[in-house]
Amino acid sequence: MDFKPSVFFEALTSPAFIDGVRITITLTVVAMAFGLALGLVVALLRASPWAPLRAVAWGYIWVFRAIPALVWLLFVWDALPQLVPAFKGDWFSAFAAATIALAMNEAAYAAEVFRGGLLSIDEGQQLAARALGMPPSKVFTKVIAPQLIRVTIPPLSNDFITMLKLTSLASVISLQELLARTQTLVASTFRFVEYFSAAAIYYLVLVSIFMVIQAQLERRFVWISRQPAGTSALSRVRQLAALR
Amino acid sequence: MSEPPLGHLLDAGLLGEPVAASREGTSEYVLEAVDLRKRYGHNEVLRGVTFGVHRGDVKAVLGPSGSGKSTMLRCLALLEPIDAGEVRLEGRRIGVRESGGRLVSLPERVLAKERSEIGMVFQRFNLFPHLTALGNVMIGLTEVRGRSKAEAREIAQTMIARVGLAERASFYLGELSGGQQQRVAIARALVMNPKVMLFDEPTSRGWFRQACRRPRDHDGRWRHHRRRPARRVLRQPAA
Ligand SMILES: Nc1ncnc2c1ncn2[C@@H]1O[C@H](COP(=O)(O)OP(=O)(O)OP(=O)(O)O)[C@@H](O)[C@H]1O
Ligand SMILES: [Mg+2]
Repeated sequence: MDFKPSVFFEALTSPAFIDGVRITITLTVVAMAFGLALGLVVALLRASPWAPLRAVAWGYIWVFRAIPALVWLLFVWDALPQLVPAFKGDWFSAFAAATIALAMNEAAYAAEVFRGGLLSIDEGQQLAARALGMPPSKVFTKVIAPQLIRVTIPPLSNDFITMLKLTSLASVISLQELLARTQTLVASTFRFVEYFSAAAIYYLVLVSIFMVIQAQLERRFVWISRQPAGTSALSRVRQLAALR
Repeated sequence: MSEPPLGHLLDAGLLGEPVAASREGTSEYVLEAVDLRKRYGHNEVLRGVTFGVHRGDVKAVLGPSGSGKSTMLRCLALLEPIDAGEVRLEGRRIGVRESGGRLVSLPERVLAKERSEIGMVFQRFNLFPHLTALGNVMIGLTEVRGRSKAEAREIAQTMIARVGLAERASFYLGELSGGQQQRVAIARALVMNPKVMLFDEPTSRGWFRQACRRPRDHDGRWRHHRRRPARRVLRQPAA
């Protein structure tokens, strides 16, 4: 077996690697934030009383669930500047292209998650809010949204993890995230096992950290007056780990 | 079509006598319905419902399951557009405005203001699960009446105590019994100081029945604190 622990640890702690991790995290969070915002808009359009708006939303989901993320990423990076001159500017970096492509991809999935969440909330909730005299904006922010967040945390956490891994696609448009850094280092050292293992370890750690955050988030949406025993962050992570 | 429409039931004199008839003040109606009509597709649910409720009146509507009691209440509370007829609150027509000689439904923002004058307790209570009992009673005060959190908490606490749930104020929906949920729903509506209260199936839980049997105890107490609203009670005969 050809595995040199010293090379492996050197890879784990190399500044280039850590910089790649930083870009991976930033891209994940930014693309996810835009993706969720756009996804919520698309979901609300799908529930619109006006048919043309519903059709637009339906069309968006149809197209962006069908196109592979990698194809869309390459399209945004290479084809979009040819189509739209505004994308020829200096601002259109690999990071910007990856953010746009991944956010638009995520929005299609998030829209369906939000739509399912909205369907799961009893109609009596908005009736009661309207009966109290709340205007539509308050009905949504004060009554529907908290319940929507609660039911969508688990599926959207899945999406978040998927996004974290999808960022590796951006290596093909030369964004220097974790995978691109790994490939560069591999090309000069030919130590495939050590470097790819180190990259895998980083992804594993990032997902684990996120699972702890998810468990904390879910705990904030448990609506009971006393905290029951056994819902510490640690035991929730254990439960989650057992389920996966 | 097999279900008897409510307008027909009312014409037939099935509208119950006031449970607690204490007519104070004017002969003006607080709430009035004039020839309400509502249909869902081919199902004509309300076929011309007309009635009036005086201040202080408690009136009940009886009818078999599916006869349109809940539908009528939703129409009165402006939660459902009516096909024809009028809803009047203190003599003023609500829910519509005239525009170029035609009647059009008010925009949702304006409807919301009018709704806040009408209290509604739903058949299934529809408490907000993400709020405590106290939070359910507070939310109308903070989000509709524009009260500060502190003010709203104080008022809501008094109201929660008045329905006998002072010790359960911090409980969530899942931790309350059916009757307790009903009391929170009543407190949530009453705290808005509505001109009229609409109860859908109030007798399905014990507490309201008790309160109605001892109107002097209960309503007498209210009268000291506030203008007592007219109430329109909806109930279903025991099966
Ligand atoms: N949103 C709706 N769409 C279509 N039909 C409806 C709707 N709501 C009610 N209906 C119909 O209107 C009729 C009256 O319903 P409603 O709920 O008002 O009855 P109810 O008198 O309150 O009955 P119950 O005593 O069982 O609560 C029923 O036939 C019902 O199927
Ligand atoms: Mg009903």
